[in-house]
Amino acid sequence: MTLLVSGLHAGYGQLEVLHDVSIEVARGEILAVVGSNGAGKTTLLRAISGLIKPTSGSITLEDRAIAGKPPEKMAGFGLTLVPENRLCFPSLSVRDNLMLGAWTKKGRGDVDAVLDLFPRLKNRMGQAAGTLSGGEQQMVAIGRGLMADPTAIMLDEPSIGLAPKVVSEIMEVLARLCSEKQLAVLLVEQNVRASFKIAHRATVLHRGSVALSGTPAELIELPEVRAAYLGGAEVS
Amino acid sequence: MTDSTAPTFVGNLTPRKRFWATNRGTLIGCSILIVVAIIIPFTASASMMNVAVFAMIFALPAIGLSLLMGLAGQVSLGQAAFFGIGAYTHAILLTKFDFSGPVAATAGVLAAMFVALLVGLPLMRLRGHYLALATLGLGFIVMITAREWDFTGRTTGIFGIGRPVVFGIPIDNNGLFFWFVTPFVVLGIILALNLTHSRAGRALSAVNDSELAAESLGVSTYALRLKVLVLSAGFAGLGGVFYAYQVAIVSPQIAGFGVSVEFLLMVVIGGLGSVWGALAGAFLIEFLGEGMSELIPALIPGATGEVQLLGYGIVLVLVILLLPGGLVQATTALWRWVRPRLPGKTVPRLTEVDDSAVVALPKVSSPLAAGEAILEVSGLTMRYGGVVALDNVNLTVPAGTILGLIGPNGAGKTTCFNIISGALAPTSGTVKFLGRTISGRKPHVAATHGLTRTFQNLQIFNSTDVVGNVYMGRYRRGRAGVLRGMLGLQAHEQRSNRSVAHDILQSMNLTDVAHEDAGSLPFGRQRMMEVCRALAAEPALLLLDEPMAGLSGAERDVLAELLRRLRDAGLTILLVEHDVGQVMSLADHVAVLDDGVLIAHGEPQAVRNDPAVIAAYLGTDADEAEAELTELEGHV
Amino acid sequence: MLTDFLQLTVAGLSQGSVYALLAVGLIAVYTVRHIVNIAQGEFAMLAGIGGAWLTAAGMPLIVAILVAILSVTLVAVAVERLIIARVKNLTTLFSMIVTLSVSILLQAIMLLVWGPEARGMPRFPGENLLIGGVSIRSQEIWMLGALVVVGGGIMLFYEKSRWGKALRACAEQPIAAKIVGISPVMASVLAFAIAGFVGAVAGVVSSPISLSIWSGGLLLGLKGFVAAILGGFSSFRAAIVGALLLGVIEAYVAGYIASGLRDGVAFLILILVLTFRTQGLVLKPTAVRV
Repeated sequence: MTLLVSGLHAGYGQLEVLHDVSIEVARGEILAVVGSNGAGKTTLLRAISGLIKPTSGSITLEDRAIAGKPPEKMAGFGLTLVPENRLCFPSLSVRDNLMLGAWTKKGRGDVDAVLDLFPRLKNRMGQAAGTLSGGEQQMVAIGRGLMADPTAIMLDEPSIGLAPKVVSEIMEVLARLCSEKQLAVLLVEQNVRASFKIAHRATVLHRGSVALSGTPAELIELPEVRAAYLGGAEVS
Repeated sequence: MTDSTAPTFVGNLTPRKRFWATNRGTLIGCSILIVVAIIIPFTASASMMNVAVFAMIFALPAIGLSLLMGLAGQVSLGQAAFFGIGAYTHAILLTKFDFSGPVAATAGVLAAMFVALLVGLPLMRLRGHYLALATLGLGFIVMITAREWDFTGRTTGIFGIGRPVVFGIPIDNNGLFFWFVTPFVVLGIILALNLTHSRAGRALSAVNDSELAAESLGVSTYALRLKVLVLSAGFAGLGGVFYAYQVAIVSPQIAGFGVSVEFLLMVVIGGLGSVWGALAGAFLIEFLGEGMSELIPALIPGATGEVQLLGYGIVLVLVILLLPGGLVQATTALWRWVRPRLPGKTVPRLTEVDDSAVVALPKVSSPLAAGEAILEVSGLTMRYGGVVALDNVNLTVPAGTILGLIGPNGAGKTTCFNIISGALAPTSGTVKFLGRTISGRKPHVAATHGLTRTFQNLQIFNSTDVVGNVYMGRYRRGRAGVLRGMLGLQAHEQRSNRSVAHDILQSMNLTDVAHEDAGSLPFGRQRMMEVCRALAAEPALLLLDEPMAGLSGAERDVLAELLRRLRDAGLTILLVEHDVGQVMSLADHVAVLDDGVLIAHGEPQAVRNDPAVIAAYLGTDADEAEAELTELEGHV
Repeated sequence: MLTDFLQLTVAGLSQGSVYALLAVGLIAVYTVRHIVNIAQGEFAMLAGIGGAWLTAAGMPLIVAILVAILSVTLVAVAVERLIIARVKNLTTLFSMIVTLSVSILLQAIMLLVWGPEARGMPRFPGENLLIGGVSIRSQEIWMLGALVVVGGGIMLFYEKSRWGKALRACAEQPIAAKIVGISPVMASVLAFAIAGFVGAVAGVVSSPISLSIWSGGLLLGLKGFVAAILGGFSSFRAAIVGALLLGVIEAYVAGYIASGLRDGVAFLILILVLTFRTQGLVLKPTAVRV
């Protein structure tokens, strides 16, 4: 297992949001983590990426223990996060955004490979990232994450605010990426439909704990997940 | 520390006992202070007396500053400006115009307050650093004006200020002067402490926790902070008056930065926001200054001039690094360590819950007859950075109904919601509530007329307990302002509001945690508390931002049931929700946003069958989605 | 008439250059850490006094300049590591109090080590110019030159270099900057180093004319603030323009109205800007604009 999370407890101050969460992602596979608002999906990614410190539990990336390490070390270990709301550097150009993605490699990253995946960015290299559309910013954010040549990549709700066509475009790229580069992909999504299309396995988080686990095909048969499948109702 | 007796309901006590219970701290402290003040002139040495007098004089501006920094959460690096204005006005009126003492003194205080008002009107809009720099600038302007103006005596200043005469007794020694100043300091402390515990004080505390939430409950941050600024300048001005009397010369330096720093130091060392801390800080700093001017030349031979500077710098750094809460933090820690070791009787617990009363549904306002338009949204558009978040949205909400606002992620629901509640101003278009235009105005405006909201990301007041949070919701139902707060004339209003707060908690099963820290509750109960807080304002229109998220099934049912009953009682509710099924079962009308455009608005059944809605929400073709939706409905 | 005006203008521009350098240092720190460095002026004074002492002790001018600048840069880094980094809860209030206390500490150290008198570095080599009746002192040319070279250099750094872009990234999106691997510690140290460096240059280059004294940092720093505020605390360009404007207006007020009111100009501008237009001269506010 490339990315292994076990018995994770994490939260904010006195409030524990994640209770005993265990998940695993291997190279070349996409794990979709779904669940409604407040289920703890973003907290999970924050805890793994070091933005918050877990209270207990372990996280290993290719046998290296990374739980509780500061976030700026993660890129060097081979783990990148494509955060919620993309968080591109708005006044910097697309080129610079990508270049900074390769910070841990002294700015020398494979820009061409990224442009290969997202040809739309080719014409936008000199443009300030803040002026791009939501979909383009998402591409820059993912591209930035890839520049560090990671072993594992985590994405926090990449589909938010994007038109369905753009969402499927991005999901397609993720699937390609995963198989071509043999990345471990941890995809957190509210859009169950879009993420199940490309995921190899899925986990449903409910109120901070793992409620269900399996392949998308298995999970889709369950009534609770069917309801959630439509991106509306709640798993109760 | 447990007691076996049941707590006594505050409402059952006699007025005298009640007064004692709520004001115990202030009364004990002031009595001790008065006793000590009486004794000091008899027992202190001459240099100690000097320290004590200046400490009392400076305690006034320090107390004012602690109110400003602690209560209003504003940094001021120019408190000396008001100190100087008070001193100069008083001195000039005494020496050049022969005014009597009390009149000149009053004029001095009023002058300081007036300048504060003038300066505060534009500046209190500013945040943090900017306000600090502005006050710094103000201090310099006052000092430079005093230095360059003939009227204020230029660099020489005003001299020859006579000694005050009180009831025929000339105050011509330090001991008498000490007794002269102390009553004013005691009065100041009482007023300041009252203010801290008053409606205005709690409101300011709430603003420091979450300005967004406080505004949504009707707190006008700007107005309150401005009042505290003026008040704090008044304290400083009074200090200046006494200073002028004591030193008999007023020169430009007293409005200078060094003096402002000293005041800041007193407040920080005492403990930010603590009135008693400011007094302690004043004594400590004066004592330190006196000690340092003797000690440092001994340690570092040849060191002259402003050697206090070194000491102040070191002390400030050490306090910030090691004891940021100042003396207050130190004494609280000490007390916590000592208390369990003390023998003593347990104090009877007081509670504000009257168990014998019957609990009803929280009250709501229904200013309009059911069906009349209570909220009108017209042509609402929001554009920022090239993105059109909302495009010409038109919507009317009839009174006494529940409207659900749904739409896929990123459709603009939250933006629309934030504009209606006043947190955002639209690019164009209007929102009218009860016929009044509320769009583009700060949230507290709509709140005072009966519009409240909850927050998706929870904006609770962390520095108080659960009942304190709900009690803040009663803000718009209260009347007492800063003046009444200071004079302590709002006990009745406070009491009735607190009992309403407790009633609401009871109706939502939160009584067991009433006195817990708001931040320690689990998410679901925090959300319920937020709803309680919003209901405490007796709103006419309640806006709920994803209220169901994070709640258990049982909690959702309770909330949904409550919302239905409130709707039946006349409350209008607008909720934004992700949970389509929940909204369909709860709402009277549903509005659907997609990509900033309102694509459907009607009864749940109609909306649910609208092909445009299905396509937008599900991103698939209509037939397939139709089938899936049927399945969805079947399982819910 | 005209020559007087031009004379004042030149004096104002050169003084404004000093303010501009300080403003650059303030913005560098603020954008990365959201701290207003009240001790910025003290960095300048420290370099000036130290440099004056070194030259008086016999050190060649150029060496003294370099030593002074280097030392103050190190002092700034030390302040960041030993004091700023150790404050647990860096709210607006606390950050102001911390930098205020550093300012006081530095003043006290200067007073104790070098005494209360003002010292000046010797004038830098060069000829005075006389153009159309307007005399431009060589030191003033150095001051303007310092702005162009050092100020311009810093701006280039932010615009073109990897670390400069990294600092801007930290300012705009601190979370994403961490994710990408930029160490917040390094960013903070670098920002303070820049502040120290720029402050030292300003102090050294203005010392021959304005003299350096233990208590002079405050006023100087405050004028730097005004310039930084005119730059919206985010734009180097706007801050530099603002600083030059401030210097020039000060010169006119001192020359035509009353010299004692000179210092009041800065504060009047401050209050006016904060009352009417908090973003100062910046047209479109973004996080960091070079």
